[in-house]
Amino acid sequence: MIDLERREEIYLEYQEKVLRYVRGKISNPHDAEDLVSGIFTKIYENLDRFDQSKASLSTWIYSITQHTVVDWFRTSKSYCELPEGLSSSEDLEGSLLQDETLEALAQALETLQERERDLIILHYYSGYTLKAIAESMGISYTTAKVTHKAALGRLRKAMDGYGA
Amino acid sequence: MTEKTLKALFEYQRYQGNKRLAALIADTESRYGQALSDDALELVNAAGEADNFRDSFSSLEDENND
Repeated sequence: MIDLERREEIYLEYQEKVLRYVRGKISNPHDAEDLVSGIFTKIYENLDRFDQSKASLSTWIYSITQHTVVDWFRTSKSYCELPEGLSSSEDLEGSLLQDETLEALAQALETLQERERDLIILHYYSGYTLKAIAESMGISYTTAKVTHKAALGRLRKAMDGYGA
Repeated sequence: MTEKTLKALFEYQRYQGNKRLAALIADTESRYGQALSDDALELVNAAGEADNFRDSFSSLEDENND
């Protein structure tokens, strides 16, 4: 059982990250708030079993956050389709879940042309289809696919050293 | 880098909030946030996620079949 001081430390350090993630997935602020409380309860209850040789505390908390959100979508009375991004994240190696990797991704994105970068962000972060992106950019779907392929190739090259 | 990895990294960004990456995202969204058509917006569900990665996967299938 962890002490109150440690609980407060963890809450202060990770509350923003957890809340940001949950609010990005769940639009209803009351549901989001309840979920964040539930996540921190799980963190406190399981902290004794946390093994820092397997993952950093931040990664562990991220994992709990994700799984809790997935469970919420699966059991929610107002059933919503499980966002695709959630399932793919479970396969990502823990070693890649570091700010340094995101920093490298940002650096790699900065090497892309603006349209390529926009397409990648709109598709992989904002979740729009290539068709929708093509429409908003005023380009053909074929051009969007070609741009997408080129952008992915450049990102792969730029991120080579990260084993991503 | 696989597409799965890229999606997962952007997913992780929602938690971690790397500032450099956030700035790039904000820049893109400032230009395209309003520009997406009504049709496209219908593709984004209430949670702010597109419920149609199937479309993007089918487009990949098209590419793979080329």
